[in-house]
Amino acid sequence: MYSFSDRDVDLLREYREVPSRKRSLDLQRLLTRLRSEGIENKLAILTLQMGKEWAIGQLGATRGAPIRIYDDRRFVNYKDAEWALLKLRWVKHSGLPWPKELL
Amino acid sequence: MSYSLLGYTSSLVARADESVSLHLSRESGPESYTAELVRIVCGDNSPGGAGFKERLVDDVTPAKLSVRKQPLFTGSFGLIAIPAEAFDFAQGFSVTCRFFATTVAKGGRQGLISRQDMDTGRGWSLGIDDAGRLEARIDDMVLHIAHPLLARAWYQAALCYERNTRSAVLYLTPLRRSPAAHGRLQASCHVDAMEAPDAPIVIAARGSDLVKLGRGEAAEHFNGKIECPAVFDRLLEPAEVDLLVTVGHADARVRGLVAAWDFSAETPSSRIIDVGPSGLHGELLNLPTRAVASSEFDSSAMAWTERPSHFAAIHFHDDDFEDARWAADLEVRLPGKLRSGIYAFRLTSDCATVVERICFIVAAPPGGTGARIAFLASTLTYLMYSNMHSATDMAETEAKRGLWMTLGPAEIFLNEHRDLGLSTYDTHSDGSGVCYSSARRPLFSMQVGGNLWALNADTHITDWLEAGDFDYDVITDDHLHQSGTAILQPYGVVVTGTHPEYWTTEMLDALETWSQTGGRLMYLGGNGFYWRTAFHPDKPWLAEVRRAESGARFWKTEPGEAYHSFTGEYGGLWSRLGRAAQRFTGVGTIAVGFDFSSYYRRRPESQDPRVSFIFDGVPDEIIGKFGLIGGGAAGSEIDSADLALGTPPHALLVASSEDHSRFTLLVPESMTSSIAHHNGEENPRVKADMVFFETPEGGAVFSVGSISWAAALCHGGYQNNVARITANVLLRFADQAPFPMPFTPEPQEATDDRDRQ
Repeated sequence: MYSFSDRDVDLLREYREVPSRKRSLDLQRLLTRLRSEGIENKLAILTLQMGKEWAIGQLGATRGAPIRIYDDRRFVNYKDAEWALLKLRWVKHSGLPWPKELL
Repeated sequence: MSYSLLGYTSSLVARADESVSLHLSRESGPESYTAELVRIVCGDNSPGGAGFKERLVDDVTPAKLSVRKQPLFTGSFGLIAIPAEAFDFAQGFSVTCRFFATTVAKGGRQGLISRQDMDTGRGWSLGIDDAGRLEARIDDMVLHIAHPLLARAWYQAALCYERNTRSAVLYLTPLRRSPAAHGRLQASCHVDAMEAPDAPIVIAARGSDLVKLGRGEAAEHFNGKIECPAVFDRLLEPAEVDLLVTVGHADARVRGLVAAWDFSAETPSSRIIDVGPSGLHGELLNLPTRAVASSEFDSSAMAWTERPSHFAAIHFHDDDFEDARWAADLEVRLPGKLRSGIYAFRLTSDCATVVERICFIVAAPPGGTGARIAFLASTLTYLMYSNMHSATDMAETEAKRGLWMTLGPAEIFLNEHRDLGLSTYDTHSDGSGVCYSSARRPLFSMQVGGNLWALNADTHITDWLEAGDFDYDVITDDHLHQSGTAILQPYGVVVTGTHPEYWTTEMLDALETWSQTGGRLMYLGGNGFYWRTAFHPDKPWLAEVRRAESGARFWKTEPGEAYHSFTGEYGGLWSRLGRAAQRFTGVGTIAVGFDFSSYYRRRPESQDPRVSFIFDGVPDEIIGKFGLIGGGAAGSEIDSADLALGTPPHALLVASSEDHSRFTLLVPESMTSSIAHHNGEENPRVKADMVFFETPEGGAVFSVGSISWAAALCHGGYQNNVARITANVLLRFADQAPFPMPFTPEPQEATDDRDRQ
């Protein structure tokens, strides 16, 4: 199993700085860990307007339960929505606070 | 997220001069709409996409519609109307059945078999209570077996009542191979009196109103299998109950049989057959799954057609769906000279705040129109993809795809609206796979706009055909299945859609026959010709797939359930059935990946004079390093050549894709066991092959093996090497000059899969 470590801060920085097609294997492993979770209350990106506006949403506790908007943030850039979701998943799975040195 | 209006047409496919009815339900918002018929040229309305294009059909007068909410009822059950004189309960009665519950405690009662007035409570029922225990009711008396039921274990239940003694006994017996660690259990009580109710027998749910039941509306749905329900006109003794446990169905040694339903009879149909003396046949509502393993199944026979007694159960689900049964809001006779194509009823609210489109296909007339080119709309594939819930239901999707879960309006809406029926990619609420799909409901895979998938993705091809002013007809899977090669004969070249995945035996027979007798096939997709599929013999709006053995799939068929109920055919991958796509397209599914697409690089074979027409005006070595799906023409789901699976030895692999991503993964059937390097970064087998070969009688095949190909056609205003290659091939294929077969090549040795891993 993947073990979170201080080295992950560099990988999070790489996520922000390196084009997605060029990500390192170590970063892919971290992302796979952050994406390995159940459906219950899962946080996801919601497309509010195709190609124009996104938000963070949250699935319900059971299959078919309504999906709600998670917070007030709206993103006009999909990459920003991804970054916001990554932060939430990091805090949830690593048990560590979001690194201060990263925006 | 909401849709104001939902709807479907009476048939997914129509022809000019035929009538099409439109069935609508208002979900929210405006009530008044204007309906117009439009021809869809391109459905891609995404930013930076090909651009949405439609043309109004002036010959059809716009209609004003006032739209109301129409109901939906899901959950399957059996219904047997009972004539008043059918049962004589002078002495009493007994009712028995076998059952295999899949959600023992789902938070409510579940009916097994009942004949009970829902208003007065008069009558009897067998079921599962909300604590997961076997329960029986006679009028207002309730009996239950205290021992909780086990999920996914076979039991026999019997409720026996004697009028003279006013005693009722409930029996529960685990059947052989059950993990339940107990023998026959029973409970009894005194019942004051019981009069037969004026109610039908309902199996796997409860209800008594014949009008409601007839439209599929019932309550207390059961999840699981039921087998051999039977009714007797007297109380059965314990020894007789034990005998039924042994023999299953009613036995001549057990007197007083009134009715016994053999669920192995007429499996393809929606009828349930009473093999007792009364002939009380019934109907199945809302399409439960037939041809499933029953309590006697022991793997000695795997086909229900071979030993029906081992497949004598029906699997009922509380989310089964067959037909929305919505009343029609509009009926239109299509103009006699209406050109074939993708059409929609465009519904615009009075203040134009809402515009919805309900799509269907208008197919060319039998015999065609004189066009040499036919676009084969993958109507069967469109059907099998509706209505998908995997985006919200499958936990592993993110990690598998290497993408964050991103949900659009359709996924968000469908997540909450399971009453629109599931797709064959979903699981039922009890975890079992969905193997049927119905066209008589709103079909989200027939939407234009939104995701580039199914019909919407195929409009990149129709858009390009229109932009190039090609003279073409549209034909459909439905007609290919019904009429065979006759549908293909008028055409010199057939162009597939981006994802022609589902094929019935009849469809494949027809295409192969046509292809071997001079026809020319342009396979412009990926993951094609993959799953054997079946249409219902009497209800052409229903189709079935069994996910047997292997394949890229979201659920897998249970043991003993690999044979289609509609046809009796063994299901699964065509490649596992000896008819791999490589045999007639040159390529077959090798990998899937949804994060990035890639490009093709020409191979030395592209210099062969036999394929010079393909690359006329294309000096580039790199093909398709652009596109609207993943940024390349090779991606999403890709196919490769394989001599061992049937790629003709004389086929020319003129280009292959490369540099696929870590999340473009080999499909399971391409590996004999799990391997670490099953991804596009590390495994050279992860590639799309562009293939050409000649076929007998002057025919030929050109395949690109990629779903993403068509999404690159419009790049640069249709001026690009993908569009040029496609046009070169189409023009040459439409030319009647025969393709000569090359010299007969020396047979090449088939490569062993294990060597390549």
